[in-house]
Amino acid sequence: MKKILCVLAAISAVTSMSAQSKVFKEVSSDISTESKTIISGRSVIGYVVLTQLEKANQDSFNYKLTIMDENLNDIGVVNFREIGLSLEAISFENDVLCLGYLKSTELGKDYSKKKQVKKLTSNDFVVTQFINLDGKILNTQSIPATTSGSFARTPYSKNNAYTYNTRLKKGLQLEALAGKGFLLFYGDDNASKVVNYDLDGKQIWSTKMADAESYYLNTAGANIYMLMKNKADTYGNYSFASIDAQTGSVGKIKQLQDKEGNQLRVQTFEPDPTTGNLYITGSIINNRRNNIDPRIKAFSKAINKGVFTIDMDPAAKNGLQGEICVLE
Amino acid sequence: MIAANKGLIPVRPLLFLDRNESVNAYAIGGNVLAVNLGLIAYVNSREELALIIAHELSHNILNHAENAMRQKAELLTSDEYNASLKDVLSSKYGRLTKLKEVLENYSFSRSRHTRYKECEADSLAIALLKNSKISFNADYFLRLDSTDNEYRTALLQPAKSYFTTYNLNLDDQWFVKKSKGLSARNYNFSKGEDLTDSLKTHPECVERYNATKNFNSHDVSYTPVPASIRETADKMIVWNLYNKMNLTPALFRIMLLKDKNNKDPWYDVMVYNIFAGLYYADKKLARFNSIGVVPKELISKDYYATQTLLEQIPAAQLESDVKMIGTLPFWSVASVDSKGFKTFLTSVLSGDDVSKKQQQLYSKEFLANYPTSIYAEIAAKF
Repeated sequence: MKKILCVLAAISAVTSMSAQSKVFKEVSSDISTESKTIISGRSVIGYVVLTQLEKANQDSFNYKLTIMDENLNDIGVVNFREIGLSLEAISFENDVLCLGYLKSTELGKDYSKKKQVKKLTSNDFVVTQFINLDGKILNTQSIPATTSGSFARTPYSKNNAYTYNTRLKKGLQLEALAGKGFLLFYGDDNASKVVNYDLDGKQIWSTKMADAESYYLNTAGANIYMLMKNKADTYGNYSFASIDAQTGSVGKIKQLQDKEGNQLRVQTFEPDPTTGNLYITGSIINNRRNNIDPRIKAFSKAINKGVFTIDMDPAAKNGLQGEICVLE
Repeated sequence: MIAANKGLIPVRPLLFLDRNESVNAYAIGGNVLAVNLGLIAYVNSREELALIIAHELSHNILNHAENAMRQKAELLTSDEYNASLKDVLSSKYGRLTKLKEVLENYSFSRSRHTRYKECEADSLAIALLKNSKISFNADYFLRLDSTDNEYRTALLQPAKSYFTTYNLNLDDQWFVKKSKGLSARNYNFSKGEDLTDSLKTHPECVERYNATKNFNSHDVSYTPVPASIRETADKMIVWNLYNKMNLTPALFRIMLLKDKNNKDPWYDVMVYNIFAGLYYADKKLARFNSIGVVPKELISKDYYATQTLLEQIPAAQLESDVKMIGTLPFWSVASVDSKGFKTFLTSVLSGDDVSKKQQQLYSKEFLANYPTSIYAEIAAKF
């Protein structure tokens, strides 16, 4: 009798444990995590982990933002509720973290039937969130954006679920403006814009950039520079502009080319660790060969004519003072 | 205590000495209990230690561990618990929050229950002490409030001055965090860090003091813990930390002992071992792990400075510091096995890349010469 009772108790315990495991498994399958490195002045100063914990209601999710120092020790957690988010970029200035998200009414949702997703449209936004080192969300700014989102089969999904994937036409970028605030760059189907926020997350100005294939926003102290590539299928065709930090007005756009009109191919666009000023380096492209297919043929056709360095001098007109060194 | 309480403790309990440095003791049921080394080093008197042992014995006498396990098994198999789990699964929204609530309700009731058990154990412990004619003073509970604060303690001197006796050329800048990282920033995410009262397993020490102060012994006599036992406990703690390659706490404990005017040359030997260990870890690209970086809000400024030194001292300087400490006069009074271990470390650290096979030969040689030495614990790892 005793043995039978023991066996029954064991079966009951095993059944119970199995039910518990099932709950843990299902609840944990709803949890997803993405992380980003916090970089300031070319140094890794910490990490941020965004965890989507659970569906809070029909539209929103509960999120946990874990902030870690450079040693991967947790220094704080911020909890908030939002509709679907994708963490795209981070910047840090004056003990304020600025996080850039892509937010969508459809992100993070699963649909089991293709018919369902055919009828759906998503409202997407570019979101900037400002958090201080006391864990307080200082401000959250949201800008409607048109994105190229689509529903696709979720990889490795057992129930053939469809999920929404979205991306901006020009990826979101965040940069710190020393002592003043942050700069957000994004490009959607309508325009490519740079938006300036102060350290409390209040918008100061917004400016529209000229059309280009890709954009590289960078700052040196309180100076703002935008490097643009105008044609994707060539090595050269870069242009460059400075942006006024006070008003957001864009300076004269200069084509990156040497005195002979040869295009410059950019390899590096970053601050000089000694002066703090930005510099551009790369190679000078032989103009006659700039339009060839930039793959294997380029090696045999000797498209590089020399190398160049341009130091961005904030005192110079348009912030550009070039030193073009040609090595034949 | 056992002789005076034969009715309650018919069989001699099995008492383990846990090498852990935290100030704690625990009962695991089945007449088994354990006392941490940290507690031995912390208590002021045998009566204080007796109270804590009596408290743990009481847990065993009252079958608290066994009852807790039975209750947990009952809960896990209860209809109510299974229904709560099903409710989580059938929910469309807030499933993690609901699951947390189920588990927290369980923890909450368990913690409340555990706190009640702690009060029960306190009461019985006082009875055990009275039967044994061991003095009881409720002040002990107040002293328990300040346990595990070693690493929050300020040193009597600036951290750098503890190394002057070793003739080390340490730059002031190495004690100051140069990192631009968030660890050096003034952050304050304090919300939710403390355990909410409902989740604490032990009642507040003040509560325990108030509940038991009326039972204080009248003719109070304290027997100090023999100095030799306390010294051995201190040494074992430093050794265990070193053995686990927790170099900052090991070094900081030595600095705290120096503040108590401890002049035992064994600690100088351990300073050598710590620097040599750090140099070895650096060579193996494991310096960071051996330091065990702790966030600054959990430690004193002096601990932070010591930790920062171990982080920032250049590898070349470490090498020369190890050599320097290895030549100091205290080695003339060091034990034979300490000197043997120095030779072992010197051999392992010599050159850029001592092969694994060669390290094993050095280890074999040390173990053959000093098979019962405490250092054999580390030498055997090679």
